[in-house]
Amino acid sequence: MCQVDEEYNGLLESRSLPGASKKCMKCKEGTAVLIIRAGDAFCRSCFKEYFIHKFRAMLGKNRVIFPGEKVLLAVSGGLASSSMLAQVQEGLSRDAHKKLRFVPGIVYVDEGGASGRSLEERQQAAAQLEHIFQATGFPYYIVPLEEIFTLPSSILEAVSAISDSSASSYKAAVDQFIQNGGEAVDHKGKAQDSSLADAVSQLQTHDRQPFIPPADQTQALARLFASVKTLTAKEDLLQTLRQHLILRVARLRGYSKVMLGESCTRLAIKLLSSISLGRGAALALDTGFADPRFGDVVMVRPMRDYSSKEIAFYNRLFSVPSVFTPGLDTKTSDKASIQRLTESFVTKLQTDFPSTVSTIYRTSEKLQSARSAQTNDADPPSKCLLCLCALDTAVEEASAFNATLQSERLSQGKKASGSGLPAPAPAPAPALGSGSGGQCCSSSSAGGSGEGGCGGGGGGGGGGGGGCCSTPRPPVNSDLKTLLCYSCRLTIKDMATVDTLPSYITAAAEWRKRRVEMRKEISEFLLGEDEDEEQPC
Amino acid sequence: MPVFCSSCDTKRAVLKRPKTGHSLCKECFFGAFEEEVHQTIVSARLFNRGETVGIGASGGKDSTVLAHVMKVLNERYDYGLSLLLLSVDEGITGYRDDSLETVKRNQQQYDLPLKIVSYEELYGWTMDAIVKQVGLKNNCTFCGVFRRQALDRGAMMLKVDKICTGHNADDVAETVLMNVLRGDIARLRRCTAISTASEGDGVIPRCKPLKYAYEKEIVLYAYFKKLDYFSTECIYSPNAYRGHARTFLKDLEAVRPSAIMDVIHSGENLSVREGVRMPTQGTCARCGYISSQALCKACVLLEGLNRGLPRLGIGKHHRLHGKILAEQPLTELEERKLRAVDF
Amino acid sequence: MRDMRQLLLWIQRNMLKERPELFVQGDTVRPGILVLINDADWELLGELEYELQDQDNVVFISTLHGG
Repeated sequence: MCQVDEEYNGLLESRSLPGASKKCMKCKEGTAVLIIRAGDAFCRSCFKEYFIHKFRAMLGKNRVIFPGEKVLLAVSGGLASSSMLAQVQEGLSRDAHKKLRFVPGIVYVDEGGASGRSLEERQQAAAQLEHIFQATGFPYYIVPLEEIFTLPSSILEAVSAISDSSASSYKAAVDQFIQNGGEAVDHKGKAQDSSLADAVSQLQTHDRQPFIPPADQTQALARLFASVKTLTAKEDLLQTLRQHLILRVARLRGYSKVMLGESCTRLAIKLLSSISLGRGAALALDTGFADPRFGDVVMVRPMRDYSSKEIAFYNRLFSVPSVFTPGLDTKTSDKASIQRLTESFVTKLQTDFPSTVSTIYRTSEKLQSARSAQTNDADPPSKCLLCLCALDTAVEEASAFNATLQSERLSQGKKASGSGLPAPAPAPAPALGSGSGGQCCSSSSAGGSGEGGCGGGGGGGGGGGGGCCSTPRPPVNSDLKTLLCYSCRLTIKDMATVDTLPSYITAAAEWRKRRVEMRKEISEFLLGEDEDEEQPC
Repeated sequence: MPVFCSSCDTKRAVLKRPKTGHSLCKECFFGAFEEEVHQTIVSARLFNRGETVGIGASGGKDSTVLAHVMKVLNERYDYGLSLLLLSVDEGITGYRDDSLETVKRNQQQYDLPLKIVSYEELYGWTMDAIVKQVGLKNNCTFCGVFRRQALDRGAMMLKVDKICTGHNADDVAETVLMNVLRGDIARLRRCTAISTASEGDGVIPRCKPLKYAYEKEIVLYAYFKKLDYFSTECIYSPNAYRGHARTFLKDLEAVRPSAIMDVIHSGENLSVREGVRMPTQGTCARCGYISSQALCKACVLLEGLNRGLPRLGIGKHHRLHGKILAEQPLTELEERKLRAVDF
Repeated sequence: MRDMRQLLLWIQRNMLKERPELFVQGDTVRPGILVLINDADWELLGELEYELQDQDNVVFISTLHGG
């Protein structure tokens, strides 16, 4: 049957080549040098003004960066983040009353160890970037990805937000800033303990010498990525690890904000690929302006209103330096990973339908992320161990997640019966009530540890999907999975073994499981919103 | 070296499940497939005992498999439902004739009553006639809108309590992607719902028992069960844009087979910010069908067809709806805009 | 060499050593690659139809890839 249900019409105009007019649409005088969006032609100087203005407008509109706040700029060397760096420089150099008012630092994560680049190549790239960073005068930190092997497990603990970011407090902070004559005021008053000083010295932030990560760490990194079977999972894991590392630098150095250089185009692609990866619950965090999932450090995306084209043009026309470093997906085919596939899909669609990116972008603005339950020590963890987003794996009655578990269970039958779950019910039980609904699917009673019954412990639980499953897998994967959201589970599923993961992850996992067990032991004594609590007066 | 079924471990595996990659024998595959649909029905509480359920039957693989499985499960688990087949004749010569023959065969094979409603009798227009007036660019709009109402009207004639359609996992996932690409936040929120509640007079609640069934598995099921179905594409070319989303989904599935479910999972778990403006649901002033405008889509389209102004339903001319309702004449300019159609 | 179309063909034949699909698609550049002629957007100059002049500077910038 034709699946056309209720079709849309005429909303998508095809591309039409621009008319003969080559004058700037803004000043009407200068010769246009580029076209953006669906036909806006700009001359060089109007474009520059438009570009610069957009940056401050973005910060002004969102009001999350407080005056005097320390903001860490995550620069990869790519076009967008380099452009962002240039805009921050530009913004800070303006005359007093329009000046941007925060205190920037730069962090560059060298991921060469994950993509198999040689030390020489990595050092070369780092040196080029260092040159660029030095010219800005901002403090900078060049951090090899190998540092993940020295991260503490506390990085994965949920931290509640420290600063009050309401509109009134923003205004108050601005007023106070101006009163103090433009001096930075630390409004957080966070105490730094002495152990941080040691940690800081461990973190490699060489300003002069080229960094050389210890060889065994580089090997461990290579091993880690080799144990991930698909490019999709590699890219996802890389993104997660990078975030943790940047978070670490931010915390150690007292930065409460991090700026990420993701462009509009990149975020439209990310929205679609996040959906494809099962991250529907976290879309607003993944693509919105502010990402407060880490609590004390908020990630912001000031470049999200710029298309890749605008950024590339600006950098070219106004000589913004950048350093290209090949990544995991360089030169791979369009279908090598979900992320690559999405990028190719969106860019192709954009050429035929020029409103694609902006439409997807507008969709992302209307979404919010699932709220996670209040996280304090007493409650069971409700955030994913890896991505720290709210867990979306509550086994609800009718859901795709549940259906997936069912399919796994039903496709393995006898082999998975070691888990003590009831076998699939063949007998005609009264399946439908008269309105009260029949039995729920038998494996839905997620017990204390939350393992939803996909084959259980002994059978093909961990590695069930994606291949003939006649060999039972060791249950290691299934332990970790219960602490992860739907999407991170998929990533871990693609790993041959989790032994290669850095210790901070396994340590955090252990800690969490111990907490859950402890809680089970003492649940009857806990006061509060506990559902099995009986409250004698 | 033969591979054994991973479920019963006794018979040789004859297929690999697209959904999970497990190798299964025929019987275990049938069992798993049917059981999953059963679980979907039960966990989502799609039906109540004693209800009359109309199965949207087009003769295509989805609805054929749906009809078969519904009948099997109804008996096996004693759902206590009265099942019947509902079919729509759009009036597309050649294509629809053949598929209706298939539906009639299904009726005999499954021994279920059948009701056919046609566009001709409901609206006075066949798709062939519409395409002559409208051309091939927007014809799918007409068909989609008309079909939806046609099913409802047919169901009402037979006093059906619920309609179930053969929408499968691929369809739902594709719709999620489409709605993101179109920026249609209202539809995005609703499109993963497995059933729709009754939204007013003349609208029968619908559900999708095959919501979590992969299209490839439906084909496998039909093939191994030797079910009779009609498999040609509509001769009027399908909407090109949806084709992009479809290809993307297929490519996703090739990279990671679980992607279809992953997209649905995303659709089920995304939430819309408060304060986002959504169109309000009211009723059509002319026929009473549910509508967010003064006139429902079908009435607008029909008005356009009947007046020789085929563009009336295409694009946004909401202001003119009021004029039409009040039976005021349109100005020359307005008429000209509505008449031009690019083929 | 008359126009951009021919230039692209020439590049494909003489300069691309591997993976031509990363640069060209059909007779134009792959989506995501920008073309600047004398620092101006080629979309303003007729794209493939633009006729090359002596001393013209043509730059290709890829927007695919992170930033």
